[in-house]
Amino acid sequence: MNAKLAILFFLLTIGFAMPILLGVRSVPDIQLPNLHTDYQPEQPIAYSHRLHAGVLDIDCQYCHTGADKGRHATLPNVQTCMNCHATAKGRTDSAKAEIGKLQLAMQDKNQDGQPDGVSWKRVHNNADFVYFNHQTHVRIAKFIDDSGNIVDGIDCVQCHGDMTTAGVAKQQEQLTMGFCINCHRTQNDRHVTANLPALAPVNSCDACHR
Amino acid sequence: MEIGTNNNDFSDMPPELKAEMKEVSQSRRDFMKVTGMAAMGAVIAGCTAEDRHVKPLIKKPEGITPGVAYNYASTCQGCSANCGTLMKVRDGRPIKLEGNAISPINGTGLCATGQAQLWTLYNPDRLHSPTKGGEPVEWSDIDAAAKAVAGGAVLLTGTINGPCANSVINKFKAKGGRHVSYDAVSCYAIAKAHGQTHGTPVIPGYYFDQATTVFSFDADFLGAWISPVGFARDWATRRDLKFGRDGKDMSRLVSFEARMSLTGANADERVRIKDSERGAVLMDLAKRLGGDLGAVGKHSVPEADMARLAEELKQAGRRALVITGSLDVNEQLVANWINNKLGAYGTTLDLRRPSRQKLGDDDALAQLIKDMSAGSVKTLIVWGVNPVYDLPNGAAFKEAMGKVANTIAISSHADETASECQWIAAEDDPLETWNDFEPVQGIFSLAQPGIRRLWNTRSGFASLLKWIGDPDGNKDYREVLKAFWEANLPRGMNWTQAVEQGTGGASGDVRGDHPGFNNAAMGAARDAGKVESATLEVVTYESYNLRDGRHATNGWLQEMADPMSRISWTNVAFMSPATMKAQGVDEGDMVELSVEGASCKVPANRQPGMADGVVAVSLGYGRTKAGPIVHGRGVEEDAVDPDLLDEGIHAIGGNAFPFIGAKSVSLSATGRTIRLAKVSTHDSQEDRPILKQTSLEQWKKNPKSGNEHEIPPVDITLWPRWDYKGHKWGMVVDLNSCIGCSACQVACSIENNVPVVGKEEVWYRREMHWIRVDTYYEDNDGSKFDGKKTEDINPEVGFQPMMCQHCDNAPCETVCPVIATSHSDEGLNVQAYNRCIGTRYCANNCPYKVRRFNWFRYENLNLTMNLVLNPDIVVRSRGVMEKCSMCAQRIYDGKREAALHDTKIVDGAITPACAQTCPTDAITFGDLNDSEHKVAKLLKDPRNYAVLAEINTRPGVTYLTKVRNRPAKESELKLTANDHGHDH
Repeated sequence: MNAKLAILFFLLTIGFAMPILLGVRSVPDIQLPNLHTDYQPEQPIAYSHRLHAGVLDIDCQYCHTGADKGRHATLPNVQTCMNCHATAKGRTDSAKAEIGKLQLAMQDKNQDGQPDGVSWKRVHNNADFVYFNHQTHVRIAKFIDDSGNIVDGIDCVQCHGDMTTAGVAKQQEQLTMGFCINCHRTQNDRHVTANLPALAPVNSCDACHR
Repeated sequence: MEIGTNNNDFSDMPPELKAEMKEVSQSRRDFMKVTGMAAMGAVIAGCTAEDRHVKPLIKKPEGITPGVAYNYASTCQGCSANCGTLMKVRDGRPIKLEGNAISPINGTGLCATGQAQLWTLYNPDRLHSPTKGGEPVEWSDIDAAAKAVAGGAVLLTGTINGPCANSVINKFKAKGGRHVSYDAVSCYAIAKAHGQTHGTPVIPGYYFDQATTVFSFDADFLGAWISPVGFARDWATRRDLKFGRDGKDMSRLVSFEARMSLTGANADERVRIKDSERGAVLMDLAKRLGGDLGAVGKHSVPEADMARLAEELKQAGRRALVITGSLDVNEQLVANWINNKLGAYGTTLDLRRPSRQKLGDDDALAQLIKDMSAGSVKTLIVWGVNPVYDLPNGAAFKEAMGKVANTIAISSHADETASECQWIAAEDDPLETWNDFEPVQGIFSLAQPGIRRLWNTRSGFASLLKWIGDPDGNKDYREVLKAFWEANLPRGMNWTQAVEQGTGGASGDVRGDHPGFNNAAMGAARDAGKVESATLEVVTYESYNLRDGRHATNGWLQEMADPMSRISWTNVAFMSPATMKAQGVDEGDMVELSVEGASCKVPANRQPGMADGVVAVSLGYGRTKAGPIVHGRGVEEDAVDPDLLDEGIHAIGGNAFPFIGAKSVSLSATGRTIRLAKVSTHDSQEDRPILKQTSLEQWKKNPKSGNEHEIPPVDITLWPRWDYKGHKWGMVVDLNSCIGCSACQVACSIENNVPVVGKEEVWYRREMHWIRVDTYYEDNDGSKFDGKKTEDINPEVGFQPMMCQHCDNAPCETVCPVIATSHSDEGLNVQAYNRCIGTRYCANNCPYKVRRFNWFRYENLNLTMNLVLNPDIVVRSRGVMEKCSMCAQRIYDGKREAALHDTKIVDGAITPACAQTCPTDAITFGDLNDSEHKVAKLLKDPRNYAVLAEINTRPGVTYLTKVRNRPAKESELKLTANDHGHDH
């Protein structure tokens, strides 16, 4: 009995002490999707935010059309890409190859006989039990800055960072509850001060957890 | 057996938990080892997030945004009523059904059965392709076979009332086919009687909103009769005492019945008669109204009551309505005579705009069975009906089918009848296909698909057209329907508008003369009172959830408890306490009921208020080929009759269809006792004012009557007084309007991803419903109710929807150690599931017992079934507490919508699922801080009260006293007298 207990105790100790033994550095490696800063997966097409949103200055919502309409910002349909890329076929060989993938995406048929599309990797993920609505933040909300100026909508940069310099999309902020609620609280106070209670962000749990 | 009597060896423990316990104890060491290893493994591997993929569409459909839900108008096909619906479709899949506000049949309301139609759509046990002898085949095979025999075939269907649908049937008939239709729960006697008395064999339109006095003889119009949602809605308009109504025109409902029906439970007066007495009572009433129809038979209703009730009818005159659900044409004739004598035709019932919801012809069906037995039917196509199961002589039908050379079924399931057929043409679910209806003459309703076909199925119309070689058979049925309606739409309306609205047509008053009454027809009525009585009579009725049995595979409906007995997952043999005693059986005893040539086994259950010498069994149960009900967790094994399960048959309850039309039944105990999954075992309020009630008379004198006695709360609280600066959401439930139909419960389950837990778990009181409807019985003599008392009692019944009361001083919030439940700025008691660690302190401290705990992982293990989940709500995991959120997701949707249009939230802009579907508008939701919201006004109604106000919980949900239209009872008078004593 004692031997059994000893083994058990040993195993437990090893199990729980391992993280410490291996060094604190390894702990942040256990990444929940919402905390995964610097997550920059290789995408099926080498798309550059810097080129499109930065150099060419295309509005975010030209492609992410759902951002002011519903819960998801949505990724552009292949047809949206083709609005420009039907004629803009790229100058360098590598650009031509990447843009050519769009053409293929519309031609390749899956088992249902439908074009297969582009399977992008999702960069920004909220925790599964969080309900976030883009429309509320992008279209409805008012942002009151430090000097009290009221701005329509929350700038995408607030959560997604500056994509115009980013190149391949990368998660820049940890989407934690603290990250959300800090802004909710500050903005709530400022809305009350500015006498805009109807649009004040909600601090109750049910705003995000249902 | 009660919980706790025999739990020293975990024998009460659900099998899953037992297995788990065993596993853990057997290999505790392994378990520990694995835990340790897992912790190490996690570190060494250095977990990174798994890539998640998003695949946008190639081309976005115009006007559709992913993640946004859109409503599409359609028609409910859950029963014959054909209510108008709106399908909430999100990302290509319907996730909720609601009543279509512009529907003249049902308005915004939808019953429990209608709500639950989504289950049928996603049920993985539907046929996935056409079959031959149970094996999948190609459509070309079945088409070739059917084409060869379709000419001159007999087509057996349920009611088909759509104009385009009938045009297809006519094409079929033109090719030499014969069409027979029947309804499992028949109203043929009503139509037949009107054929004789008025020369038009139809079911009249009933206008309950016009009637001041309704006499119902076993016509369960609030429960399942013809068009229950519309009837309940109309009836409730005359019962409503809200918003300054004075109650002068409040209608009175008198129910004559043997069993305890929903209609009876809501009646102001219940007269208990056996079915065999019904004819005699009708004849007696007719005689007292001046009719000489023949000798009046014997019945048990006292002379004084008969005289009073007859006088009541006479007073009501053309505002009276006498209805009967009797299958006996003679009794229907007498009812027609009474209605005609009172002048009610043209006021409360009308033959100029008849119902087309039950067009079945029982005589034609009887002839068909004869022909089949004689071998003169070569080909039989059975479409959408299940005669082997739901005919009183189903066995005879099955035998007769053996003499038919070619049998083809058009069905979505391999049910009792389809599995006897050689071929099954797999049919679309109603939510996948196009169809049209004419539920009431002149009112049209279209059905459109809300989803692409899940399986390799086809519209029944398309199959039929193909088989008769019609050129339309090569088209999609949508094209056929569109072409038909484009030629037949009213002027000024195009096809797109018609599909958008879903329903429309005749409205306003009916013009033209009402057909006259043919007194000569009354000769036959002479026999109405001459029904022989039996010592033990059997009464069958359409169940409130499974209806005629076609919804037996529906988990939501199986788990919805019967409103009267609060029993789920089976039907029972209801008997009055005295009859139970006389038969020597007790609650839960399995009894065998036998009539000539048929029998069924069901558990016995006590039902106070039933006529003695009667046993009542609901239809719709005892399906032997309904397939498994719920996948995973062994729910179906828990739910079925163990005797049958031994034979490999998954049947829940017993089949009572063979008893239709039978009078005498013999009952014998089988010696086995089973556990009944009751969600409530207590019928009495124990003299506490939980469901407050009064009489109309008293209420007119004092609008606070019945609600005088409030024990003032001791105002001590740990919490600060909440100061709601913005909204304060609240709800008021009008107990006077609530009829106990439980539509709210099913609607809530669907909206909020509430799991189905199965019979065993319900027996452990672990059902997960966020809203329940409590049924309270009250003795008619004012003494404390005791359901086991065998003395003759005729109790009054009240229904009370109970959900999270969103208390300001919430007992649950005080005890949560991790603040998983807290108070929102807008008066809601909110639950953060991801924060909950499952201590269950909150449930323990909740005086309303509305919190539900996830004892297991209840998620659907089947991918198809998961399509029904509402993406706006979390699927809770094991070990987490959950409860009503007042549909927080809908509140936020409403707020967003208002902000988008820069308006304030107007009354009615936000409705939780329960309030939305309520056929009688018993539940009102809104902002208590906004004086323009109805709910704020109702808060000031003298009838308003909070349940258990004395414990100072200060609920956000309050109730309105129930007002019965009957003379005040002595006990109530005493209460009022006492109150005045206090006041002065």
